[in-house]
Amino acid sequence: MSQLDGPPLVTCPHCGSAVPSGDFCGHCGAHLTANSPRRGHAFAAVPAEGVLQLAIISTLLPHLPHRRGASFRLALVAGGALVAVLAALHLFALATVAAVFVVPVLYLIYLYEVEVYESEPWLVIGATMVVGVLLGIAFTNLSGAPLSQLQITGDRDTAFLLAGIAIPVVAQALMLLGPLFLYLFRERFREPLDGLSFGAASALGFTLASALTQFWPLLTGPLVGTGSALDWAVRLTRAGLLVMLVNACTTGMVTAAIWLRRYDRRRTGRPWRSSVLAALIVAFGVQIALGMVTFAVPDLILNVVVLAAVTALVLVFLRVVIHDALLVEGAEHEIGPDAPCPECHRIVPTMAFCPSCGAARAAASKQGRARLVRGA
Amino acid sequence: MAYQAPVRYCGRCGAPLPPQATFCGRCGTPVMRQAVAARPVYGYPQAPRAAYPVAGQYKLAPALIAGGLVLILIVAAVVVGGFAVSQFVGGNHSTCTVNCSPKLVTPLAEQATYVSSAFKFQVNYFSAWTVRSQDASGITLGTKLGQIQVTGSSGGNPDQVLRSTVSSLPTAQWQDVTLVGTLKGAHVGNQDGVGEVYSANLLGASQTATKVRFAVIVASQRGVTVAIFALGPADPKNFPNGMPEGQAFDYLCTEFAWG
Repeated sequence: MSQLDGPPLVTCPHCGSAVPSGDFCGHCGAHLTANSPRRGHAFAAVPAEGVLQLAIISTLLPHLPHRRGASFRLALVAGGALVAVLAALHLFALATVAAVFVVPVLYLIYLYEVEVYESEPWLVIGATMVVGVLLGIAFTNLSGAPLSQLQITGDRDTAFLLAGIAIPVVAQALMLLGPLFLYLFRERFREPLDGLSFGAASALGFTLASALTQFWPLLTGPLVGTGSALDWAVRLTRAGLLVMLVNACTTGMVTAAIWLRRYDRRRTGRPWRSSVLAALIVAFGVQIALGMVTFAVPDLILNVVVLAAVTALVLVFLRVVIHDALLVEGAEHEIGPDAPCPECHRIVPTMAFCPSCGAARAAASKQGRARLVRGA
Repeated sequence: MAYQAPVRYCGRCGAPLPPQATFCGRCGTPVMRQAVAARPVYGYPQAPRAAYPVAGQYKLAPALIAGGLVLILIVAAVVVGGFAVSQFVGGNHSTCTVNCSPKLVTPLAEQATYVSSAFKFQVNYFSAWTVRSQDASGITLGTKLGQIQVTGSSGGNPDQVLRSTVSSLPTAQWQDVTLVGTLKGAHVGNQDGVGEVYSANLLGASQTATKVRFAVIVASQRGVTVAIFALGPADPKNFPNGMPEGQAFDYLCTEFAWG
């Protein structure tokens, strides 16, 4: 494209900028043809999906181009199938270990794939996941002994206060420690999605260590267990998938909101739901509610049904926070040369949003963004 | 998204535009007024395949993601699971199975009493223990480290009652229930009975697993069968039968009075 036979410029009615014609405003991300600044039908990280859509991969792994999502979904299914096979063979100890590693390992593969951590991977990964692991081991050991004793002695009132309120609150606070360290000492990671990545990594490390510590007495039992395979399948779905997702979402939404606050210092005009206070209320509220429900509903299947419903809600809420954050990020005016959009693969001017598909540039992998800057 | 000062910029070269400009002063690109009036929307050309990463150009091949994950999981399961199992197989915990009864019996400092209104038996217990529940046929007590449940019923064979007590434990909570040994000289009050000690993993509501030991002692007298279920944390290294409160439980059995 030469300079003059390219797309005509139009004025975005929402941000007032002159932008190349297309379905989306390249500056603020508004959908121009539908005249929708919030573009609820096109999630800013993966515009082919709606904002209120339930999707694990595109929510927790937003840097992935949507074409790569299928590979990660397949991996998640393969991991789940391996766990199911081990549980069906009554190899419960091995199934437990495999189950609690599925999501954290998948997340590490994702971080490797999209190069989120650029040039200092080990320091950053160490400060998030490993700190999460260490805190998880320490905290679960400290809290597990009194909880076990209350459980054996049948003291349900004290156990309710401990398991329903104290442990969820402290655990959530500890999951935020590693990312907050990075927030204070690694200011160059400024984007809200960086915060999300750190929060999710910390939560997954913490939950992995916590689950292994909780299940350790079972792991040291006989290799071939005697319990019901169905019970174990439900229990491992809870520990390996649902609890992991809830913790990653609650921690990720808080860290994304904190990072967004640093990135966007405006006090007005930002939706309340992506504020730090809202994220904290939702995160701690969900943890306490789940702690209480888990304690009050002893039936494992019913417990997992409730947890699955809450998991779906926090995934959608996190998605809304990510969407808001990416739209705020687009407020900077930056126009680069024509380059292929990593999402729709059309040749478009390098802007905060692809004018053709509306994908946020901040949601592209660092690899993809580098390519954009170089002009393919 | 509303902006306070709608400064306009040229979409091609990024130069700021005067409010009423119809062309960019730097590169000459025409500027239209309203996006919604611009029809049809400009169709951006598809990039040639070499310009964007096709499957082979991603860092990881699609099959490698799923295959790699499964491989890592298998390695983790074998390494962590193997280590954990080796703790079980290679453990040097000695399990007491013979002559395990306490050598010294300490009398209760302060005792409380429960009397079954249905079966008239009497249970004496430490007053420091907490009553978790009680009804006409039995009582459940929270001890310092565990709990003990005394239940009466009409008729029944002690062996059968012992079996049914163990088999009725819900498998969702009680994992790896394993017989440790038979209690020699099991008794309830002045009545000889049968008794067994088991090891198990107890899963709480929050899925915290705890290694426990429990003893079931059953005896019958004059048509009344009493089952005592004593639970405590497992400590096979330091205590007879692996039950730290075994002595206190034994004393409760000894002090038991039939109606």
